[in-house]
Amino acid sequence: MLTDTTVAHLLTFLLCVPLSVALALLVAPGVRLRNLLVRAGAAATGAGALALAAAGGAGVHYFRAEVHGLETLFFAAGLALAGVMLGYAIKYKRPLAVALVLAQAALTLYFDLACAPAVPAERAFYSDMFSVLMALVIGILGPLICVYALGYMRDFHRHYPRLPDRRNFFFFLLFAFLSAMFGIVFSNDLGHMLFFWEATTLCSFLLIGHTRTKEAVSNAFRALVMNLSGGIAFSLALIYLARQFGIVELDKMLALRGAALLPAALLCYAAITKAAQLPFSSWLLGAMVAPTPTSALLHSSTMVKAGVFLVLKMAPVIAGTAVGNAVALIGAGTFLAASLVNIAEPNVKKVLAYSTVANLGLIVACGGIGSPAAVWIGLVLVVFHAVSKSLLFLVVGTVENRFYTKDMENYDNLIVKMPVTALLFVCGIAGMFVAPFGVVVSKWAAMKAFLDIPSAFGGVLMIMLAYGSGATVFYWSKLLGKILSMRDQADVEKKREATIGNDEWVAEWSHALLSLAVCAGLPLLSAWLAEPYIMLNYGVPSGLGAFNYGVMIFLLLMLLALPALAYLSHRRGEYRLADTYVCGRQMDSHLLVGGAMGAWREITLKNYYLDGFFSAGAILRYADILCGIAILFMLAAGVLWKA
Amino acid sequence: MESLIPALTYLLLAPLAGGLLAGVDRIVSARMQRRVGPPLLQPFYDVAKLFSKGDVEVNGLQYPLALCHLVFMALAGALFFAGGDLLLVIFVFTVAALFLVAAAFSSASPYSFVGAERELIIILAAEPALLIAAAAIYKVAGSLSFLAVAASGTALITRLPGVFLCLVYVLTMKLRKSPFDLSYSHHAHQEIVKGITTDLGGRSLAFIELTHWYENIFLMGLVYLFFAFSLPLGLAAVALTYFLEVLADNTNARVRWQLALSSTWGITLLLAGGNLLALYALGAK
Repeated sequence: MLTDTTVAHLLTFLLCVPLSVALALLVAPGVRLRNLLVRAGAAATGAGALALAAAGGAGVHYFRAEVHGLETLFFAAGLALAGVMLGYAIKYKRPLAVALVLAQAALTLYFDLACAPAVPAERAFYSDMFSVLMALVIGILGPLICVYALGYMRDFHRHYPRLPDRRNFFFFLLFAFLSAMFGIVFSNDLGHMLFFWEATTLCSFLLIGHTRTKEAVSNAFRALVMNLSGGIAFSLALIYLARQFGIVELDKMLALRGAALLPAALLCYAAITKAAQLPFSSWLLGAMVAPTPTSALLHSSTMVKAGVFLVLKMAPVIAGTAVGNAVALIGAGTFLAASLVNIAEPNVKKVLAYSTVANLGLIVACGGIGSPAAVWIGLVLVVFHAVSKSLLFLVVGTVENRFYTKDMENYDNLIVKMPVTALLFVCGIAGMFVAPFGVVVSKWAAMKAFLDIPSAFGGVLMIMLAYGSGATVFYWSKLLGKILSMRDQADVEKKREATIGNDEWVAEWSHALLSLAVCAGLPLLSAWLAEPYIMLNYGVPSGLGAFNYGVMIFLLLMLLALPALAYLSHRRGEYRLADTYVCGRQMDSHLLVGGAMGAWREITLKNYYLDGFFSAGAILRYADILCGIAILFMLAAGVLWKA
Repeated sequence: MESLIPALTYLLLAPLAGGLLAGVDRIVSARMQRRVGPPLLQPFYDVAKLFSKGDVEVNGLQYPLALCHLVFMALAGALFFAGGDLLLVIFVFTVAALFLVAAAFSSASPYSFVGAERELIIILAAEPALLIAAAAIYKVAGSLSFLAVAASGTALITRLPGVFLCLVYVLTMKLRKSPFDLSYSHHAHQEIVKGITTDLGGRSLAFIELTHWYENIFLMGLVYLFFAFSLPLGLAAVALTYFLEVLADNTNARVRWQLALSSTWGITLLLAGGNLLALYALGAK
């Protein structure tokens, strides 16, 4: 009982503190107060998440809302959200957005006034192992990104002096976003969850459009429209549940299993839009126009993770049904297509974005399969992907603010120009595709989970995964190679790293250490959160516990220690530096080659993009169509499938 | 403990066996070209000489990366023969290859750079085939461990002929043979002539050679696995496969790397993918 109360307090804390900080930031005058608020708010949120993990980590707790009038508050806040969206849609003359906002508002009103049970849900909020896992991702990575943003936005506005400085509003959005995310993972009342769901849609809309350039506005509206369509599906699911079964709670819905297949399919649609699966990936790619901390936040701890959270929650209902198979196919198809497209992508931020889309695809596929092993993989992949991807965005942001380029081809010599940043970069990239880091471990487990499906469907998924994996290795190695390539070993501007502020260093180093910690700590993560969650929902273990962790830890240590030791021991040894060899030609490290008649010519070296093989346009077009068909099939199966 | 002995045997003897294989390779190749060829032990003399050279390098990164390439390749092979999970072995195998790619990227030489790109093409081409092969083996034998599959006496080759043929095709690249004009192809008429090692010399280059020996023995082990139910048949299959690769090397002119990628992906989908899906139709576990 004591734990219950403590957990209840901590939930309230996590829901309210980021929001209070956000509201305070909106009115806080001066840079120093803003910095103080952001740092203190970040520390408090992180501490809250850790305390929650410590207090109620491995248990399940349900709470009723103790506050009177909370329903009215949600109702009013929901209307306010719709009002803000409507205002922007009218201001920028977007008829489609106007129509969707109105439709969404009408459905929500209909639900609230005609369908919702008269008595508020007994179990309005809850916390289980998955909520705690999500809370750790949101509550640790999110605040670190906010702190990082302090330094980033300073440099950003220095470089773009013409942009209006609306930093207070920017930080307001970041913190409000965190509150909304906590709301999603702790709401058992689906009506509340829908409100938080829409809140993340609005926050991301405003963040993407932050600079208010033409491109930013149009991309923001694309995100808004796609996510609103998901919100409408969410509302329909809510109305169906209320009218058909008279329930609004998530736990009661999951207990219905097969009977709740239609609402589950609708919620999966909402989740697929939010998780930027094909054919909805374009909104996440468009989100690149925003300042980089926005991307870090959207791609790691918030927004898209809400989507995969919901798919994984639906797993017990959709597992083994046509709906589940369609979801798995959409996920695997998105994984394959996004990985192939990335081979031909020179823009580093887009490479990161497609990689997010691909990894989310893998999680969605696991949710669609819905077996205990598959859901376990989905859970740990959420963590691994979040840490590494967030680190990568932070580092890319730092580099971008110094070289003003997003083109991979301009990243060479980074190891000389910004050695520490390059090292952190390598750490992030390794986390995404090098064994035994987490993402590869998850992929490995996913292959086994797919192979354990008795039907040939498992074989098809396995083949898609195999091809996607090959492509993944290719596009990451290419970027890795550029970073490590040493061109000019005596780069004159070595002081570049001195301009990086402490906020940024703290955030980046914390991420790098976290990425190692979650990898080494996988057994703990599994035993403490993932495995109990599987037991709770399925009553059987995931079967992945018998993993050979010894080999993994050994490989991890080797990977960390060996290059470092070899480098250090070699540096002390005797070796002579020589110029590179170009077939007998003279060449210096600036890539100048002595040509005929005493002329010096510069060589440029560019990566293979294989755009003859992997034309992004064609792949995306076909994949969009195929995944679109799979979505229609999923919804149709939700209506027609009888368990 | 049982698995430690094969792993240690591999770590100690693979360089020996790999070096001998390279010696035989050079003699057989020479005979195909109507030459006498070097002595059998020539590869050992070459590596010994490389080790005796002083260190001249283009940057401080290549030596450590080449060393990591060697160690991780040896680890991948040891893990394979120790009965480790085949999928994990493939991932570690890829990590080993990455160190070579990184070493080549770190140099400014265009040969080295293009060599790194072409090595990546090999990885891109081969990865799906290797992963699908592992998946198919798992479906047939119910295990991903070399030792378990060998001990079970499962005749993989009868159930997985398509996967085996696909693997032989991919091995052409992984064993660094022609026809494809890739990173380590060594014929004088090819575009970048072992470009990936352009800026490596002395001990670093010796590491690369040693790695190549480890790699070849590991790959031959993979071939053996398909015939593991019979030792003589397995050894004969390994010898024949290697001979065919040498033959392919010496009878084909240069084939562009683009074809390496498209043909491998096509063949992988048809032969290996088809074989895997056929297993379901034929009622695998």
